[in-house]
Amino acid sequence: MVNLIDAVVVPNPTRAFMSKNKSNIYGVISLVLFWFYTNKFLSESTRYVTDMSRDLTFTGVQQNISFYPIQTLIMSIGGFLLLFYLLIQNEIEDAFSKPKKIVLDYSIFDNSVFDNVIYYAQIMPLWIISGGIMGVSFSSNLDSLVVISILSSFVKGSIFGLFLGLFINFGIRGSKSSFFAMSMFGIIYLVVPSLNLTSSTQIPLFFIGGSVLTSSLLIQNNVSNFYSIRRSNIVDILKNDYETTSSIASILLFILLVFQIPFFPIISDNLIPILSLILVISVAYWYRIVSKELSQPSIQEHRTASLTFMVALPFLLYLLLRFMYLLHHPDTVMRNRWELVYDFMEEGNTFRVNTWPFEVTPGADSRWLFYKAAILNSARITLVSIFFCTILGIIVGVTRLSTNKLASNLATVYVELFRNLPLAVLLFLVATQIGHQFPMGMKNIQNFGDGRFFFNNQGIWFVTVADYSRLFIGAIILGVVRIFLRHTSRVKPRTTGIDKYNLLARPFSKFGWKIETLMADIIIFVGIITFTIFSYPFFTTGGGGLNCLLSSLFLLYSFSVYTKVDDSGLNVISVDDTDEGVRKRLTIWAITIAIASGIAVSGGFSLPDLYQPSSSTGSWRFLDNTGFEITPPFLAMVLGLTLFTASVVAEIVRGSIQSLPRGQVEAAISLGLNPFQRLRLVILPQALRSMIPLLNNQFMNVWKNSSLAIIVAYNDIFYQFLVMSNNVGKVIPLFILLLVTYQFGSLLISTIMNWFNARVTSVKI
Amino acid sequence: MSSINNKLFSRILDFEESIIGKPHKSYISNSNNITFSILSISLSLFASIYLFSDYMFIESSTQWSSIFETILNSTLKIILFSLLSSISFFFMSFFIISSLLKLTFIRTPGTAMMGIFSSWIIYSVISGLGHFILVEADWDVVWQGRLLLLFGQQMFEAVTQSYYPNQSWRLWSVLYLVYIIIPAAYGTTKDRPIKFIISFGILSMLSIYIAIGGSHVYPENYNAMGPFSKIIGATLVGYISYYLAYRYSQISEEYKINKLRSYLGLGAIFVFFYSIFIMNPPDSIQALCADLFNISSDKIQVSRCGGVEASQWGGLFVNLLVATAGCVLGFGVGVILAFARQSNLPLFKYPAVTLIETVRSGPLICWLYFAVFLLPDIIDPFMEVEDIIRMLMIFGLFGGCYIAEVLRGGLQAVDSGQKEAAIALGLSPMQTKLQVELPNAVRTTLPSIVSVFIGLWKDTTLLFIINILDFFKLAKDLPNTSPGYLDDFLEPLYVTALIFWIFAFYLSRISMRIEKGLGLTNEGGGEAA
Repeated sequence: MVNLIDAVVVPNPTRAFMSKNKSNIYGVISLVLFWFYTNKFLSESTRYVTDMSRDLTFTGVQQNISFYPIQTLIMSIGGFLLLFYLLIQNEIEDAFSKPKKIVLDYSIFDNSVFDNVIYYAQIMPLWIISGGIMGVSFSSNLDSLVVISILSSFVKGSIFGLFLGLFINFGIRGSKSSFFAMSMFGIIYLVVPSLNLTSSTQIPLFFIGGSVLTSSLLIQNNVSNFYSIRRSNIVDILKNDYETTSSIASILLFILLVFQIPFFPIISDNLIPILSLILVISVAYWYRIVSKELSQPSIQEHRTASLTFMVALPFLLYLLLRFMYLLHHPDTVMRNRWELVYDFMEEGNTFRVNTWPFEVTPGADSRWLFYKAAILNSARITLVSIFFCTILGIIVGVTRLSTNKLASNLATVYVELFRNLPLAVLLFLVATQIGHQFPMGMKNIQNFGDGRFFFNNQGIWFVTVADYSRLFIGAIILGVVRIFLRHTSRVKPRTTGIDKYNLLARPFSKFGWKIETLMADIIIFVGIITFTIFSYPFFTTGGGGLNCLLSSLFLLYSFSVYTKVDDSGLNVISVDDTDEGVRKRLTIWAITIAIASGIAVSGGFSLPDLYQPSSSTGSWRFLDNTGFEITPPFLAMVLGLTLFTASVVAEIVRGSIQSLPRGQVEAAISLGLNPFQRLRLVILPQALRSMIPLLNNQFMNVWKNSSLAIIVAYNDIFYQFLVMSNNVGKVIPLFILLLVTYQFGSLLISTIMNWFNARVTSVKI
Repeated sequence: MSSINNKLFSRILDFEESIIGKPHKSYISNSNNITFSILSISLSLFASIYLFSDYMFIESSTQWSSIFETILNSTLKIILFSLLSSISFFFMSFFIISSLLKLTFIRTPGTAMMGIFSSWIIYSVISGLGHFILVEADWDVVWQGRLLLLFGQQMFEAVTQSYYPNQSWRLWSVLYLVYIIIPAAYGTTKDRPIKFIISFGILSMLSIYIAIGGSHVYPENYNAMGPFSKIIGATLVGYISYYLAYRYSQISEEYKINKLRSYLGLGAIFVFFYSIFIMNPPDSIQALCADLFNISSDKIQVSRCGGVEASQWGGLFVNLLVATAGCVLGFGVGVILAFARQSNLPLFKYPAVTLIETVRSGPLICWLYFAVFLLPDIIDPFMEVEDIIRMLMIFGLFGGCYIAEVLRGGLQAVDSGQKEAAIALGLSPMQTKLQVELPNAVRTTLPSIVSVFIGLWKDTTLLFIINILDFFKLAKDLPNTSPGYLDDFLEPLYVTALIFWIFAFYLSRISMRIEKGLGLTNEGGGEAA
C-alpha cells in the first residue's frame, strides 16, 4: 500500500517535463488555429453588420435591400449578448424563486404599502402575464381577429414583461451584475440610435467590439464591484484593485473609441486583427488560469462557462448575423426562402391531392387546406399501422415464448428478419411486389363474389353499406346495451361516496354510487357521440375547426369524469359466470348485434364503381355508391410499416413478459386457468405496465416513419412539403411548419400513452 | 433392431407432440399411437413425392416425358426448388393429417393450430419465395452490375480502371487499413482462432470471386488481375495482423489488452477521417502535390495528385462511410451533448436541450433535406463542401442527438460512489467526467448505443431520396443499365435488402456478444433497448 502511494505521489521529472513541452506545442498550435477561426468569423460578421446598417435612402425609398434600422440591430445583437450574459451569470432562477420580504430601512412611506409593492414586484409570472395582456391590448391590428396575430402580440408583450420583471427583480434581489447588463442594454437601446453612428467604421466597432468587450467583462466578473465605488474610495480602488480598474478602463476606452474612431485610422483599418488579437490573448490567459483549477467551484464554473462563450463568440455572432442577413438577402430567391412569412399559405395551390376525405380543388383552395388534407393522410397511415402492428406484435411476441418449437422459431425468424431490414427498402419492396404480383391494368381486374370484391394493381375495391349514418345508429345501440348490462351487473362497492362534493371533477357524486357510475358511463358515451357528430365536418370538409375543438374538449372532460369515477373504486362489476348467466348475456348480445347489423345494412349496399379508379396517389375512400377503395400506395405503406414495427413491438412484448416473476404464471396454472385465460387475465395486464413506455416510443417512431411515404408515392406531410417548397420556394417557413407538425403529433401520441400508462400503473401490485 | 425402432418411434412421437400437441385419449393409446403417425407419414410422403414430380414437370418442360429424363434435363436450381417445396409440403401435410387422425386439436387446440399454421406459412413462403429466387429471377442483372453497386459509376472507374485518373491506390489504402484494424480487434477477443480464420478466409474468397469471377463484368476493359493481387495482399495483411494481436493478447495482461483495444478504436476513428481525406484531399494539398511532381495546374484532376471528387462517390462505399460518420462523429457529438445536458450551468444545458429536442422532433429525411438545400445557405461563406460531406455532418448530428439521450440515461445511472471516489482522489471535474463517469455510462448503455448505430446504418438507405448515389439508389436504377434487364426490377431490391440485413444482423450479434461479455444480460439493459 505504501509503495503504491509513493508511486503515485513521486513524479517522474523527465516525464513531467516532456508532457509539459508537448502541451506547450499543442497550445501554440491551437492558438494559431483559434486566431484563424476568430479572424474568419469576425470579418464575415463585420461585413454583414456594415451591409445591414448602410442607410441608402433615396427620395424616401430604401435602396439597400439588406438594411436594418439600428434599433433592430441593437435589439437582436444586444438581446443575443444579453441572453448569454444572463445565462452565464445564472441568476435567473433566483429571480423566479419565492418572493422575499424586504424591509427597507430608509422607507419613504411610513406605512407598509411600499414594502408590499416590492413584495409583489418579485412575482415573475405576474409580470409576464400582465405584459402579455398589455401587448394584446396595445397591439394595433386587432381589427383582423386572427389567432396568430393575437398570439404573437401576446408573446411580444410577455417578453417585454419578462424583461421588465427580470430587471426589477435583479435590482431588488441584489443581482448586481445582471442588473448592470440589463440597464446597459436599456440605455444603449434608448441612446445609441440618436447618435447617428457611421456605418463604415463606428457601427462595426460598436457591435463586434461590444461583443468582445461583453465577453471579457463576463469572464472578469467584477462588474458588481462598480457599485461600491464612491468618491471617497475611488483612488484606493484605482491603486489596488487592478482588475476592476482594467474593466472600467476598457469600458471607457471602448466608449471613447466608438466616438473617436475616425481619428484613429490605424484601428479602423485593422479592426478585425486587433479584436482577434484581444480575443486570442484573453482566451490564452484565462485558459491558463482555468486549467489550473485553483479557485472555488462556483467561480471555476462561471469561468468555464464564460471561457466557452468567449471561444464560441465569433461563430455564434456569425450565425446570428448570417441569419439576419439571409432574411434581408439581396438575392430575391434567397430572401424568399428564409423570410418567415406565412402569406403564401393563403393562396391557391396548383396540384392535386387525394380525393378522400375531402375534395381539395387545385387553384381554388388555400394551401392550409392542402396541408390539412396531408396531415389527415399521415395521421390515417399512422393510426392504421399502430393498430395492426400492436396486434401483430403481441401475437408474434407471445408466439416466440410458446412451447411449440416450430411456431416460436418461426416468430424468431420473423423478428430477426424484419427488425434488421431498412424500412425504406422494405417499403419499396412491398410497393414493387404489389405492383408485380397483382393483375395488371383495368382489363385484368380480378373479381370475387359477383361484383362485390375487385382487385388489381391499381387498387382494391369492395362492397360497403350504403348509408353510414345507419352504421352509426347500430353502434349507438350496441353502446346503450353495453351500458345497460354494466349497470345491472354492478355491485355495491366497499367505499361509498367521497368526502367533499366537487361539482366540476365529479358532477354526479351527489346521486350515490349507483347513479354516479351509470352517469359516468353515459357521459363518456355522449362525449364520443358528440365528438363523432361535431368533428365529422372537420375531417371531411375544409371547415369545422371550432366545432371539432369544442367537441374534443367535451370529450376530454367526459374522459376525465369517467377516469375520476373509475379511480375512486366505485366501479365494481361482478360478472355472472353461471351457465344461466352466460346464456342470458349471450342471448342479449346476439339479439342486439342482430338488430344493430340489421339497421346498419337496411340502407342497402354500395357496390364498387369501377368506371373511375381513384386518380389520387394514395388513399382509401368511400364516396357515395362507389364501394370502398384502397389504393396500392396506402396498402404498401400500411403493410410495410406494420411488418417493420410489429417486429419491434414483438421484442417489447417478449421482454415485458419475460420480466414477470415466474410465480405469477405458476399461480395462474395452479388456479386451473387455461393458456388463453392465463395470457389474458394474468400475464398481459401485468406485462402492460412495462410495455407502455416502450410502445409509446415505437408509436412515435411510426408517426415519424410515416414521412417515408414519398417512397411509395403516398401523399403525406413530407410529400406536400416537398411539392409546396418547389412551388413557392418558401423553404424555411415550410420547414418550421413541418417540424412543428411532427413534434405536435409526437406530443399528442405521448400524452395519450402517458395517460394510459398512468391508468395502468395506478393499481399498485 | 426393435430398440432402434423404439428410439426412432419415440423421437417421432416427441417431435410430433411438440408441434401439434397431445393426441385425444378416446381411441389413441400408447400402443397404436405410432401406427397413426406412420400412416400419416406415408400419406404425406405420397403426396409430397407427387408434388415433387409435378413441380419438376411444370418447371422443366411442357411435354410429358419420363421422370428420369425430366430430372436429367432440368437444371440444379429447379431440382433444388422442387425438393425444398416438396419437403416443406411433406411436413405440412404430415402435421395436418396427423392432427386430424389423432384429434389433437380437441385436447390442445392452441398448440395444434399454431403448429399447423406455422407449417403452412413455412410452406407458402418456401414455395413462393423459392420459386422467385430459384426459377423466376434472373440474377444476372445484379451479378453484372456488382462492382457498380459497390462503388458507383464514376468512382468505380476511378478506383479500378488503369486508363483514366489512376486513383485506385486511394481506396486500396483505406481497405488495407481496415484489414489491419478489424482482424486485430478480433485477435484481442478470447475466441478460438479457427473461427476467425475460416470466416475471414470465406470473406476474402468471396471478395476475390466478386472481383474476378464470372464472364460478364461491366465495363469490358476491366482489368481483374489488379484487384486480385491486392485482395490477396490485404488478406495476408489481415491474417498477420490477427496473428500479432492474438499472440500479444495471449502473453499480455488484461490491462495491456484493453490498452491495445483502445488504440484500435482510435485507429478506427483515424481510418474514418483518413478515408475522407485521402479520397478527396483539400485543394491546397492537391496543389502542393502538383508542385512537388511538376504537374501543371489544369491536369491535377487527371494526375495522381487529384482525388476522387466527393460528388463521384457512390455505392456501398457511401453507405459505409455515412454510417461510420454517424457512429464516429455521432459519438463525439453525443458525449458533448449528454454532458452539456447534464450540466447545471444554464449556458450548456438549455442550448443542448434545444438542439436535442429540435433534431429529435423531425424525421431523418427532413434533416437530410435540410442538409442538402438549407445548410449551404448557412455554411457556404466559410466552407463550401459537397453534398456527401454535408450528409456526413448531418448524420453525425442526428446520431449524436440520439446517442446523447441514451448516454444521459447511463450518466444518470452512474453510482454516486464512483464520482465521490474520483473527487476524493483529487481528479479535476474534467477528469472525473471523461475518465470515471463516461466509461461507466458507456459500459451500461453500450447495447443501446449499438442499436442506435444499427438504426443509422439502416437509415443510410434514405440517401436515395435526395439523389445521392448510394447502394439502394443504384440498385433501384440497375435494370435501366441495359435493355435486356428492364424487366428485372425486383432482383436488385432483394439483393439490397439482403446486404443491409447482413450488416445489421452482424452488428446486432456483436452487440449481443458485448452484452454477454460485460455481464449485462442479467441487468436487463439489452431488452429494453
